[in-house]
Amino acid sequence: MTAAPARSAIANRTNRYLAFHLGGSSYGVPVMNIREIIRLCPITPVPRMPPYIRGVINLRGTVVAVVDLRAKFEMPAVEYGERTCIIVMQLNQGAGAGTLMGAVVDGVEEVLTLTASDIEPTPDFGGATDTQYILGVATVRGGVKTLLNVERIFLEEGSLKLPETTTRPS
Amino acid sequence: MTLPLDSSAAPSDLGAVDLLLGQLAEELAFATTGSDAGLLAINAVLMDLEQATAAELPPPLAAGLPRARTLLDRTLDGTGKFNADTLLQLAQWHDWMSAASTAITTRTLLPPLPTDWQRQPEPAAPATPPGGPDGSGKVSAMPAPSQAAADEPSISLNLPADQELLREFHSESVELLQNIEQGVLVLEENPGESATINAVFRAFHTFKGGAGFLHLEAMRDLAHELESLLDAVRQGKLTVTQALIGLVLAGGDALGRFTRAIGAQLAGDNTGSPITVPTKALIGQLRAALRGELPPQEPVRPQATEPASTTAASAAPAQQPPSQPEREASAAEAGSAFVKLETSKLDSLINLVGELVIAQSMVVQNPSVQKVLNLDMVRNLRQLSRITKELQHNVTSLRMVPIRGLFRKMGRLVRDLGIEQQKQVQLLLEGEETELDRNIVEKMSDPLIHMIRNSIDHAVESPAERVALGKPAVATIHLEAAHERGGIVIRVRDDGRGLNGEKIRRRAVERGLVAANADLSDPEIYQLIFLPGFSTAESITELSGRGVGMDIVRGNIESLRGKIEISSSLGAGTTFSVILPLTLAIIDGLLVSVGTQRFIIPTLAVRESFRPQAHAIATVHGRGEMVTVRGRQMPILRLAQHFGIPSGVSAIEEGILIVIESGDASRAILVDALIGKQEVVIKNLGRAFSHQNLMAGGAVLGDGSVGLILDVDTLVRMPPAASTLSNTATAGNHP
Repeated sequence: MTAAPARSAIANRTNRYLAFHLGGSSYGVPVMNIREIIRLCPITPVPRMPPYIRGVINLRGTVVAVVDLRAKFEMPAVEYGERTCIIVMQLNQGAGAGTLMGAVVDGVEEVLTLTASDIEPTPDFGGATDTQYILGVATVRGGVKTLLNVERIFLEEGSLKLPETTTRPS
Repeated sequence: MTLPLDSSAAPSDLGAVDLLLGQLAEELAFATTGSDAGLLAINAVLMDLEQATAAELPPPLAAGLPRARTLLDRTLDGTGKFNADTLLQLAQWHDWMSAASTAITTRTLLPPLPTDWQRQPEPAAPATPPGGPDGSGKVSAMPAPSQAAADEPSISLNLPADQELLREFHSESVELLQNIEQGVLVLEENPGESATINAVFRAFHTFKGGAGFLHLEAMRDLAHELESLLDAVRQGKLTVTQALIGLVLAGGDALGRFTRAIGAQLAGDNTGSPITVPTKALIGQLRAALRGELPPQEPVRPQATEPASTTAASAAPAQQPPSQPEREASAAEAGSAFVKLETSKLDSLINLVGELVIAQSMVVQNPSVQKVLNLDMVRNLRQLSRITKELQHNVTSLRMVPIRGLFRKMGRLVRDLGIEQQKQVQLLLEGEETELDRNIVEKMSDPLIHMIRNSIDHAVESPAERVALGKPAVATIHLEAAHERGGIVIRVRDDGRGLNGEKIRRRAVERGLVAANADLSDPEIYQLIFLPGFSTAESITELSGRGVGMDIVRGNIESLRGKIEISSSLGAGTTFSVILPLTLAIIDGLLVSVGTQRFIIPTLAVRESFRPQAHAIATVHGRGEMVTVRGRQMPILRLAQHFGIPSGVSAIEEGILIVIESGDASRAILVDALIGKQEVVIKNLGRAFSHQNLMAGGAVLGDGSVGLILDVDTLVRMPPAASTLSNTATAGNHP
């Protein structure tokens, strides 16, 4: 009896994204995938892992792997700053459903509500970059935000080269 | 408007909802006006609530949800920050939800849904009239149990009204059935033992009482017959024979099938459909036995749906069942009392205590607290630390259960298989008190059953054959559990014919599983039996020999990140050793430092540790650095170098060598320093680390950070000085 309205409410909410940035590029992740945002805390490094895997943290008793999104996207590393934080994401589909993953980002911006007309399908970047990790591209107040497919990104081993969309007004 | 308590969607598992409400309370407490802190976390928890099924979230509670959704959406769509009004409303909403949840659990009247919350998608549609607080509103929503197969008696559950009682009855029944089974197995060995006869009698009696109380006539009648039979034995009118034991076990099985069906309905399967288990034939036999006419052969199993010889319905006992089931029966074998609780509650308790420990140490280590010179304060803080530590220790041990229950289950299996295949087998148990995480115990059940079936089907010879070979007619299967090799080892050892390496090899080649000219060692050949599709059984029995089984065994064990080893000697027997890793278990760990990092080494794998003397170290060509320990040369692994961490010590004499061992191999690893010993709960590192075998897991350390637990087996078997030398032909001191 409550299932139907709940489901439609969820469908509506897939249009809501948490925006964050890495350097000059801005990204969005569906709010459905967000568990919480925490301040940067000590991360225990795990030896002999690829550089984008920063290590593990203790999230109230659960060990959660932390990925540096800059490293994952082959962007130059920077010192962690005041606004650096960890977005704890939950994978909702596929083989890793239920898994929590932490993502280090330069800073969190806002929660965006996007309508279908705001989102354009992934543009063709000339085949040089993998576009299956991208849900689409949204233009918000003149800035471009790349909407990420979290499930695809975290299940992929190795780093990824994402298309550059450096049109964020600075 | 007052929502009636909708008893059709029974309050089955409000635990999960309460947990989520608790999380919300926590998040709301931290949310402040003008900030977005906690907004997404609240949203995430609310989404969890919205996705809860009707069974987890009764409709009255679900009806309240849209209110929070409205409030949250307003915030998300607006400024993205909480305002005072929203927070107040959210708090009121949370109060209502908590009150409603309590009302459902305690079966009291629900608080009215505030009228201004009207953005309800649709009314929660209460399907049945309200049930009174005492559950007296017996709803006739159930279909009449008329279409029952044949005219076997069946039972129907009144789930809405009796939910809680049925749940209690179910868990009690499971326990009683175990007691019955174990008791009967004791009787088989020792037919005259009156304490056991009494215990089994009382168990059936309790069963009868509980079933009668809940109007489960078919179960009550069967339990009554069984009780009468045991009563006759108790009074010395009947003696315990194989046939009688068979009957009692068959009766227990039939009750078990009812019980399992009840459990399934409680879990939401086929709710409302009548449960039918053929019992008439069995009741007929029980009565015959009571008259002294025991069936000459192996008694009929309850599955056999034979035409009934007598009618059972008319003979329902008039005796009034006790309203309070007797509890002595279940406590018959152990004098201790138990409380049952949901594992989810246990897990959240363990996590909360973990947080408490961290919060406590943060308070104690806070510089401004440490500056306080007040003696009372210092003493109180010390007391707090002590209590917290003890609490943590106690709580972490809660999840551990002895392997006893699992082992005892195998007793029945061995007995049944032995009778079925006319083989004489005794089962000897050892290390029953070994404690394992309950998750591992549960998941080890199937593999153990398969291994034991395999032993009896293939390895154990017939009594005649055994005597001809000069072995005792009765075969022995040893089932042992022990802490060993940094983990837990479960061994199944038989004294049967042993594995025939040649035969296995031939079969594997025939099936194309291995090349004809492959050069294989004995252990490698034995491992072939775990390949899917492999079977050497001459005939296919009901239980094994179909080439499924052993590959499943290995699959299950590997899913626990364990491994299985076989040793065998032709004609003398086979030993399967299941080595379970530390995952999920609590271990004693040795905390060591390497550079700025800390690692945990399972204490069980540590043989000794010492500060090396320069003269004891030698570099052997092709084998890297070696240290002489008690006259033996042992390869050294410098952990810092291996892990690519800058070491804090420059010379080897400044560090500490720790001798670790796994199986037959050992190695000395160099660390900077020993920090201490600590008991830790192993946590899985998760998906991201499933491809590495360097770390066995992680553990939350006292300061709240994660410490990594080294996988000793990997370190020990690493080729010597792999990072510097390419010559790995002579791998350490093991072949």
